[in-house]
Amino acid sequence: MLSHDEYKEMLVAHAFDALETAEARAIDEHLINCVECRDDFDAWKETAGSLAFVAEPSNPSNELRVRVLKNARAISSSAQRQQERSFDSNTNRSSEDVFNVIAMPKRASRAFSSSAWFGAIAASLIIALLMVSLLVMWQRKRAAEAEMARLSNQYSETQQELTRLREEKWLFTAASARVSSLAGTEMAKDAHAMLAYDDVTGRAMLVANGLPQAPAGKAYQLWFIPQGKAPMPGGVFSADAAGHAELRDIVPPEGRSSAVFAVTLERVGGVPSPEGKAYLQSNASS
Amino acid sequence: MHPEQAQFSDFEVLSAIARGDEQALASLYDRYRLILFGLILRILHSRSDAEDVLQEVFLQVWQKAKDFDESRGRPFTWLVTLARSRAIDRLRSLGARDRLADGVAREFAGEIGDAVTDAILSERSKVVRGALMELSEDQREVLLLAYFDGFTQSEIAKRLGAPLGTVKTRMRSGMIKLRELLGDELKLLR
Repeated sequence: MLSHDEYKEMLVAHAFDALETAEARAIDEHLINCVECRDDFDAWKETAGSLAFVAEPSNPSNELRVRVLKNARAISSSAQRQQERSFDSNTNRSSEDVFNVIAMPKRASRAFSSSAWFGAIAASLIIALLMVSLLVMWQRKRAAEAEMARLSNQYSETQQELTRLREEKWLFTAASARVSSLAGTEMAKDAHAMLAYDDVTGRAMLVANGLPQAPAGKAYQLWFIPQGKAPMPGGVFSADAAGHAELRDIVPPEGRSSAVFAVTLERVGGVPSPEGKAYLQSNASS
Repeated sequence: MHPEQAQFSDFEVLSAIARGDEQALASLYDRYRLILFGLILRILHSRSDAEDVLQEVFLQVWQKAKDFDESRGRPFTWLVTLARSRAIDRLRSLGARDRLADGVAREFAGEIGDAVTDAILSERSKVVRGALMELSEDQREVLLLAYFDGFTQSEIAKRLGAPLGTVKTRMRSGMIKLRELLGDELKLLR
């Protein structure tokens, strides 16, 4: 059995999940009863969490947001169905219980006195008034919440747009930026694109124009092709009705110098190695 | 009114999620997708795996928001802890840590140097990166191997060829210094 001080020494490593299994189990048991260590542990987790800022922020695909919300809705619906089933079975059980009770003859209700009637009516009116007030307050609260959610979304969108614009500006002007132009192939002679990326971090942005709209079930995919090596898959994107497309991605370290960049038409969701025809291709990065 | 004051706090958003408010989930996703996806991507080095994990994180938030205990830390820390744990679990299940760790170690020096001039990084990111640069290289290496590659102290010791006690000391002293350097900034980080 370790001492309190020995457990305390281990808290930093535990905040990183860097203890061996047995040590982690022992300290978890200690944390159940030791408030001081639990507070320390929470504080170390805060410090460890700050290291998340060391990673380069990166944008997941737009489709992921839709997928997350769709799946969250599916989880809610499934939970609701289970709850309803549970409620139904409880209701049935209650009915069965009722059958075990012998019915008693109803007692005649005692007549109220006039003052009791007056009191009852007054109480009913007060309750009704309270319920109306509650309903109005509830509706106001809902409206305020909806407005706040709308403003919050608007703010998030503005922030995203600002981040996007900053990123674009930075990518095209930084000292470590590289820009490569991609020309349309036989498949899309009028298409052309620019790929700007940071040679150090790999953050990249592709802006394409003149691309035909991808047929149903298909999408464009970016490829990084290091000299003498197999193509490495990049992000998947689609072009709008005007043939314009933008994609943010990360160029892997191997693909940052002496690489060729290409865009092919692939299955929606992308493929690990190119199967479709190339629509855009660069010569070599400049 | 300043926009920062106008928006909901993270805790308010989590409370709304606990009540089944989908808009709140969307709002939390928009607020943290960049930092969380960056973190997961840094750990897994695969966009498709990282997207899977990010989705798992937000679905877990959707289901567990009602269990969030404000007295145990900030929502941001909870989110980052969830994201990192799930990413490390995925990394361990892929058995790819050794291969990826080499790449991470190589990339790190460049990223830190770049941070000084990187206009896109947020102030908070710069603060953490700056604080990390104040640590000794040995301390920094141990913290990054544990955080981004999910190595235990024993695994780090084996990997660096250093005694286990030395690794423990570097990790603890590094974290103490990092906490001192970040100071009050820690409360603002999110």
